[in-house]
Amino acid sequence: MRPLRLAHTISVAIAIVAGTPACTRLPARFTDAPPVRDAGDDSPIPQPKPLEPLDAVYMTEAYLRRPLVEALEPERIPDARDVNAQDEVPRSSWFRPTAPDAPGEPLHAPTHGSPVSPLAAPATDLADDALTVRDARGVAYLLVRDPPDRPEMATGASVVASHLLRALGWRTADTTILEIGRKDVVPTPPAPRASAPVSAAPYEAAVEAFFHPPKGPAADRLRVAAIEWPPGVDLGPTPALGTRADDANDTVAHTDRRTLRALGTVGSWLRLRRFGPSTLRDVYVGAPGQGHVVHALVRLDAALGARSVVRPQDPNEHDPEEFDSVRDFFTLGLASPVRAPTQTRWPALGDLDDRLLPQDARPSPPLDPVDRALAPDAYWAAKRIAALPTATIAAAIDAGRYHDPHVRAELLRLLEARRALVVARAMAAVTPCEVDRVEPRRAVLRDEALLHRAADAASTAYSVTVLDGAGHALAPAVGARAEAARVLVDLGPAIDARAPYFVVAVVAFRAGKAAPRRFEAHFTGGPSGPRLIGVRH
Amino acid sequence: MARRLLSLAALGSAIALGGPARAEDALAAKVAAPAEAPLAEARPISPPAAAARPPAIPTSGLDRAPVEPGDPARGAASVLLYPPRRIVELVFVATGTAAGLVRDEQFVPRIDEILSPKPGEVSVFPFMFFESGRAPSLGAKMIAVGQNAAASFAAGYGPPQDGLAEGRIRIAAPRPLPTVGSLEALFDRRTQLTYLGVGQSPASDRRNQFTPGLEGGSARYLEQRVRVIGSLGVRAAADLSVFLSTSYVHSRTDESPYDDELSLKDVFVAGTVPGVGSTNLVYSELATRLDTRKTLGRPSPGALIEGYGGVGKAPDSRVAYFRAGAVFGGYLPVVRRSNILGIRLVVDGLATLSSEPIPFASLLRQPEFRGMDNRRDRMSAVASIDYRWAFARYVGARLFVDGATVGEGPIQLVTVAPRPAFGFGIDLFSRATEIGQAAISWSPDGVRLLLSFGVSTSTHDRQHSY
Repeated sequence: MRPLRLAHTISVAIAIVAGTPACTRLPARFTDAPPVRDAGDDSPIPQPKPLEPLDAVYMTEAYLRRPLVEALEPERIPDARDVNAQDEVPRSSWFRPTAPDAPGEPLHAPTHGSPVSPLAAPATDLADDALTVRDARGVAYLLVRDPPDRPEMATGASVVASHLLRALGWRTADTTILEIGRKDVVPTPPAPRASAPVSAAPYEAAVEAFFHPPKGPAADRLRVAAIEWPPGVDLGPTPALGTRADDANDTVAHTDRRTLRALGTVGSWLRLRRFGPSTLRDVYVGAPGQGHVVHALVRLDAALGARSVVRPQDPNEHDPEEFDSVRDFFTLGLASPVRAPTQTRWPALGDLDDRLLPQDARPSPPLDPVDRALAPDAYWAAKRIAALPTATIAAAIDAGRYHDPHVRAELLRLLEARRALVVARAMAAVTPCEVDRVEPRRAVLRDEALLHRAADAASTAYSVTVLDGAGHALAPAVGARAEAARVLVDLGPAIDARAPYFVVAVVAFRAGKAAPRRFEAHFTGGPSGPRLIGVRH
Repeated sequence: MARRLLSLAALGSAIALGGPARAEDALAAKVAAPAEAPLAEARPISPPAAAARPPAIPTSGLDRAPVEPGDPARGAASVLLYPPRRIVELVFVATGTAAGLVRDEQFVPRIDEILSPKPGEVSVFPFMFFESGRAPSLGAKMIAVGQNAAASFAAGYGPPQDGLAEGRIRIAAPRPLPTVGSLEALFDRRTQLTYLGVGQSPASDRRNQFTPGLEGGSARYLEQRVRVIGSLGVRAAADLSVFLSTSYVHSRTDESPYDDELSLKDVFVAGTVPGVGSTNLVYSELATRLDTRKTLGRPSPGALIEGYGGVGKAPDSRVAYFRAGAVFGGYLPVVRRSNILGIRLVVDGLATLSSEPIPFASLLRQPEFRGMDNRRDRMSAVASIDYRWAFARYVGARLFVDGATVGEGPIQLVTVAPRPAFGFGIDLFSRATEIGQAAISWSPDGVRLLLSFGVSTSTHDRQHSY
């Protein structure tokens, strides 16, 4: 809501007016300890209460209350609180960091693979493009089918996005492509109670609607994405605000979690904007009283532009997320829609192209943590995206089982092109350096942007300042250049001053323009030489 | 209850009774309510959880958070802005809690709305309101919401002599048909009410007997009411609702308590304004409404037809009348489905069933008219054209033109020139309900500001409006 930015600007202006000359910058200070590698948030807890949002309240919160309240909050958005001293997200119930070339850890082990028929359909509360079933082994699945006019689109997107997000470290439900027959699915109402007989009609109607959608032909067999969910007790949507009050392991406000904040960047890459209550889910895994909550991404069939398709017959069916508020206000809503119909050459591809749209990074409905994402959060996600080998992306596309090889090739091209754009954008917002190694009198930094060809080495320079723990310069700032994406930083001023704690502050300049944020490497001094204890971006 | 011109829940802090202690938790709890877990019996798959391994240091490894230039000033400003920030939060908490069941209108929720889980919390919050004929008032409102039931109690005081106390209970049943029953009780005292006489142009209407020299004058009076309403609404079909309601009103009208204003006895010849003093009235009504719009919140295409008939009778006198009316509305999309052109006509009529004159306070008024609602008579017609367009997900704007006439009979309705009003407004709405509205209208009688929050002002509801 753009107008609220004005209110926020005013509230910040009040801050400036009310402010004293308090312009001192005091750097952070890290504990001299190894970085936390495991958040340890899988301690046994009693099963929390399942939650289900009130749709109207959820939307009102997202679109009205929170923007209004935050417009009146001039305090700076805090840094993410689920990151360690290396500015990385440690292993947790939200995230499983993996090596760049690893496929990612499954949500649970062992995986069950495809469902075994017959499939009992015991729920009716979903739209007609999804169906919850339980297979002959008792394993629960969520089946998602394609829209009738775009075969393979939603199912393929669901699988590809699930594999890619898992490779990046997020916890995603196992998702596979399979074909099921109408006769394999048995409508199954819950067991009747003596006082309340249960009609089978709604369950039969749900199955019928799944195989015979209102805008498409009836099908005896369907290609579906089978999402193995829930692998325990479904606790409902992951709250976007605060924490789960009945989960003792949940100690970081969700708005301050980088794993959630960074979804805007990942979503921008995959053109995935739906992170609503059906996508971000909590599940209690383990025996009752012995388990813990795992936070997972479940329904990803909106990825790859699958939910952004503009059909030729409905260009005026305005996606309410894509209001151009100023234009629509002053034209009384009569301005022509700006989006062209989606290509129809490859129906298996959604509305995906090699451009980044402004709304690509804005989930719909809004997700509070994403709205509070800071440049380091986006950089962290971009760094992981950049590190994914092309082979991993290709393997994810293969898992989508697209029949047309041209679709696979085009999808790979688009994902590579979008990856380059996302990475370049995120890395331009920070000084994207990491400490490669520390030597007795110097540190070697690695410029991730140069490493991933997101910036030009010839036009890049760095300003390096060595500060003491209170932020005072120990020597004048010096310039530096990168060679093979590495920057050498002289730690001599701090060592010669015997500083027990010092900070190397680096600002990248691309074509003469300073990066908006500096990189900080924090060291302790001592007889054994400088030791890196923390970094900030 | 007379139509609210401005109802702005505001000021102070909410007291959450039995609700979560922290603000973030409160919001999280409000957003998410308990539900049965689908497939809750699914067997656990993961191995038993590891033993507790809390990190020895904060995950961030920070001893000290950084301080950026301007942080102290931002902190100071944050403290300064805490009250308005808190007010906004409380308005939404209260509105969200009340959504669906406690509303100032006749409304039967659709079945999925009834079945939505409710948070089960009790909230008390202060509010202030400005209402036609009432001094600006401060008060407090308590709302308690349970499963398919809600109760509210409000009390307010407007210096020096205005007051209000109101309690409501609403109970909804989803089956066999969505049904809502409610019981309400109200006591209020308003001292700044205005009576111009009857007719579209009271100054020239021969039925008004003005004191010589004060023709066309405006008389102030007070009214003190005790009102009880019982109602039952059934959603007989997806778009069809039926309402049965009965109200009892004990009213005492009197001269203005303020010496510096013209009172009824000053402006009108003594004894020519019927119903001054105490009256008792029972009014019962049956109404049906066909409304095909998907939601009353955001702009939605559809049609609205409503008809009603009711009988009013004074138990202690021969006053008796029959009242009937209809509402016709058409809502058409323009270019987009989020742009709606709405055309509405509201017609009401009143016929006496005895020789006793109808008390002036029971004559028809025009709460749907967005200009000055200060005409009364036995027949009324209000025509409206609204153009609403959404320009953000839950924000829309509207341009509107109203025309209103009153008269002694149907001929006068169509032969006199309507009073016009035109205006512009901004609406806030959720998927299902209207959340707030701010509008300004211009009419020959003056400029009127309409503000509401959490209360629909557009529903035709006789029991609360008269």
